[in-house]
Amino acid sequence: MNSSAARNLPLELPEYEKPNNALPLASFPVSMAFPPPWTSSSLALVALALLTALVIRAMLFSSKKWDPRGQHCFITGGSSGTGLALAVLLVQRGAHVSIVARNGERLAKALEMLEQHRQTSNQILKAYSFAVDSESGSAAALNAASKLHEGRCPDALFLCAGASAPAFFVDQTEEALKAGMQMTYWAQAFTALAGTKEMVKQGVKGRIVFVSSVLAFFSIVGYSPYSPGKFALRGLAETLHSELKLYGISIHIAFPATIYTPGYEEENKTKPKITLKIEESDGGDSPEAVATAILKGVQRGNFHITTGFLGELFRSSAAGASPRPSYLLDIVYGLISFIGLPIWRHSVDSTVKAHQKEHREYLRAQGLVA
Amino acid sequence: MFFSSKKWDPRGRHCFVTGGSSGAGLALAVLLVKRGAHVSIVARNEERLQAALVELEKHRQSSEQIIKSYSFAVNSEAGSTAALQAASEPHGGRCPDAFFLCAGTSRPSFWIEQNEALMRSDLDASYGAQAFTALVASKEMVKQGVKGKLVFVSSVLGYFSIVGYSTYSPGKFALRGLAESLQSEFLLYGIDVHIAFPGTIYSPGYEAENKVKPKVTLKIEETDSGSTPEYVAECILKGVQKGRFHITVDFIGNVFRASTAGSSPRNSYITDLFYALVGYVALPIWRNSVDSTVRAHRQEHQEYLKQKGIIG
Repeated sequence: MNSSAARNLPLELPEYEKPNNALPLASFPVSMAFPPPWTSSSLALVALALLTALVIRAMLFSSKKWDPRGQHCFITGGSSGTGLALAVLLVQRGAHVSIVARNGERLAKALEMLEQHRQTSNQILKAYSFAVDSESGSAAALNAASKLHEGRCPDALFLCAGASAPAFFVDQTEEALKAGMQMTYWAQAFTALAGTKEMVKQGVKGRIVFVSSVLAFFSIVGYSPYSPGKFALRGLAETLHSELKLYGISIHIAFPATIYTPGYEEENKTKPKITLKIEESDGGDSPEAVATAILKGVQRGNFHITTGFLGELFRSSAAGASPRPSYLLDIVYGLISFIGLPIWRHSVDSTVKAHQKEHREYLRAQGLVA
Repeated sequence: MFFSSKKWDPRGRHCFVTGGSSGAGLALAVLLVKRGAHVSIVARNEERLQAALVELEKHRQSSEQIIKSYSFAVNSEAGSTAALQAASEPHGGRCPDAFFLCAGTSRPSFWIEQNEALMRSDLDASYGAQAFTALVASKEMVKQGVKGKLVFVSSVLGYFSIVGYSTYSPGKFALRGLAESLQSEFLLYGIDVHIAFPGTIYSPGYEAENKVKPKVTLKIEETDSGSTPEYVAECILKGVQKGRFHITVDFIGNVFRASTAGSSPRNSYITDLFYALVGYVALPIWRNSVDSTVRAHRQEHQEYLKQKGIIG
């Protein structure tokens, strides 16, 4: 119990220190009008103290980074896209890696790739074919993966399983909405459940990493089958981040944006045109870049993990009570978001409104209106 | 000031209220009847519906008001469709103008004690209870060209979460996800989307949930105050009338709303700056104390797990 409390301590202590720093900065606009010399210099002192504290913290706690070496990492959705990229990264760092997915062929190919990055002969690298979007499937997969580790459950679960099928809401049915939830939320929730139960039973103070999406911080036209499940993953992570402190299990959740994967190709085949139009100026990341960001975030002990500047903007402006990686930086991100996001939103809304006429034709063609 | 005349007026409008036989749903129905709306309340329990209808009649303003109750389970497309059709009949087949989706329940419990069946049924009770009615309502409004309103009722537990809500918060977050995407998408149809995030509501539902709520969750919540269903209903109606997307009920709600808004339309950028700054300082402090309470509960929880046979 003590070691896990100590592991949490570096995460908690900075949070406690930092809130007080928001106050002097909040009064800044007011004092700007007639800044008394003592206010400016005391502000400068506070800023300097902050910076010093930050540097000291970074130095003191850098050794507390989580090291994958020798840890058993269990990766769902591990045969392609971000999951596979993460698996490769973890193998390169010396972890034991179990990848889980449904398609046996893809798993075999993925395993070959993992072997190419093997660091030592005692790394256990395996592939398991299971559907993890049920409790029984997840439990079976965990059980199988634990066998080669003398029954000990994995130390870290990277839940990369999931898919996206954007569509107009009026084109949905109950089954389609439920299928959307199945491929976003249930694809990860049951593995988290089965994993937690094993970790608690065995006293393993492990970690669980969810992969949500920036579409859990906001949403737009076309994502009614997808955003609910991605938001739900955040809701689960928020609860578990609190609750699993009962067991010393750490929770992380990543919110990537567009990732250039086979999954992305698939979703774009059926994505509504208006959604494609809104996204046309978006860039994207390679699975490797996303995997690198996720691993870095987990190593640093960050709860919310994002990739890229826009991810940080959304994260900082939607964080609420969730722990922030840096209270100082988030003030900057927060202010930029406060001004920038509504402007972006406005342009998205305009694009949607301009699409009304074309959409009406679409509805007629589909027989949804006369 | 300029747009106060644009306030939405329930008078003469047909309002469809799910979860309308008790709690916040019933209180909303009463309020809407008082404002001269036609009201259809939908729930499962016939007895409670009858009692609710009697209550609504007490507040009738004019003989023209069509006030009815319908017994349906709305947590499926089929159930919601049937309820909608039944409610549209007295209106010549025209679908309601506003849908107040108050259906939902909460069953707080430890994550470690969940299983697939419980998780699915709890998501159904928090998300499914509203999502499928929204689906049916949207399709009908689009078909009939009704530029109506969709009002979801989430929870502050759709802005944050704590121990005990692992099967409830996901559903309440999911409702927000749905509302966010529909708020954008329904610009295609001129349908307004609103979503309310109340905190504790002193309703029969609240009594029920507290019977099963984990002790540590109760402990964390012991300093919370709550609102009456009537107060929540007033806040929701006011928010809808003013055209607010996110509707919150109290100061804490506003702080959470402002601190999690992201790119969601804000009601007032000036007051939100204030709420966000308060949140920036206060929420981490509050969070820290919640985390401490959870950690302090570890030993008692280990006993609990042993007692339940979950660990050796």
